Amino acid sequence: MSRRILTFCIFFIYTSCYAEVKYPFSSKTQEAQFTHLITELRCMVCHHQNLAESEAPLALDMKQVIYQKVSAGESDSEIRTFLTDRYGDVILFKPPFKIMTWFLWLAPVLFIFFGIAVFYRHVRVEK
Amino acid sequence: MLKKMIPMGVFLVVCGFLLRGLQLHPQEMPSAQLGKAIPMVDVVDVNTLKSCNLSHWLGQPILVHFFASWCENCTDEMPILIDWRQTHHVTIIGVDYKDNPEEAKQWLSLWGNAFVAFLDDNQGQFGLNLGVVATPETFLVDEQGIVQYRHQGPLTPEILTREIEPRIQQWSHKHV
Repeated sequence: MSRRILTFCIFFIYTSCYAEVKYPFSSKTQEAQFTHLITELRCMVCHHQNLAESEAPLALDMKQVIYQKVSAGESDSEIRTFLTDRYGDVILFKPPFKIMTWFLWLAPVLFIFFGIAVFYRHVRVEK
Repeated sequence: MLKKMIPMGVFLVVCGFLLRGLQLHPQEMPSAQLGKAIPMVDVVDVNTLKSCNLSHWLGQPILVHFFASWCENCTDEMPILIDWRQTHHVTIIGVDYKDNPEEAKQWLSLWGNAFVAFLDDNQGQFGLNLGVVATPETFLVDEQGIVQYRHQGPLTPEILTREIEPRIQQWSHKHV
C-alpha cells in the first residue's frame, strides 16, 4: 500500500519538475505571468482548450514564443497584442468590449432584465 | 394579442441567431492579417539556400501557399494548382511549414511543383507571424504586399475561380 502511495507522489513530483525544466524562469513573478497567460489564451487548433492544456504543435510554438517574451520582460498587454495582431481576438477567451462584441457581453444582462420584467409582470397579473 | 406576439418575436429572434450559428464554421474565421502588410520574415529559399523574404516577389500579386510533405490535402490540391498556374501565370510561393525540406523536395518531385520558389519554415515562425493554423493555407498578396484574401484548407477549382481569380483580374484591369 505504502509503495503505491510513494509511486503516486513520485508521479506528481516528476511532472512538476518537468514543467519547471521545460520553461525555466529567473523569477516566480515571470513564472506566474507565463502560467496565467497560457491559461487565458485559446489554442487555435483545439478551440475548446487553452494553451496550457493543449499539446498541439501550434500551441507548443505559441507557448515557446510567450516564454521568450515573458523572459525578455514584455508585459501581458504586449504579448496579448502580439498574438491578437496575428490570430485576431478569437485567441482571447475574454474578447475585448467593442462594436462587434457588445451583444456578446451585454446579452446575459439584457436576458436577466427581460426575465425579471416577465416574472414581475406575471406576478402582478396573478395578484 | 400583443402579449402573445412579444414572446413569439423573442423566440423567433433567438431561433434566427441559432440557425445562423449552425451555418457558421468555427474553423473558418476571418484572418487578422486581411488588409495588413505581409510580415517580411527572413526564411531560407530551399533551392538557392539563401536567406530571403517576400519583398523579392512584390510588384505583382502573389499566392503564398503553406504546405508540407506530411499533409494529405496538399497532395490532393497540387495537381489543381499546377493546372491553374498554367492558365493564369500567377506567381505561387510555396512555404514548407513545419517540415523537413529534404522530404519536401522529394515530395515536390513526386507530385509536381507549382511553385516559383519554396521557402523553408520548419520552425513555423513565418507561419506564426502570418496567423497560420494548419496546412494547407493560402494568402493572396497584392503588388504592395497587402494581404487581400486568406483561405484555410485545400484549394479547389471553385475557390480559385470564385475567390482568387476575380481579385487578380481586378489588379490586372488597374494595370492595363
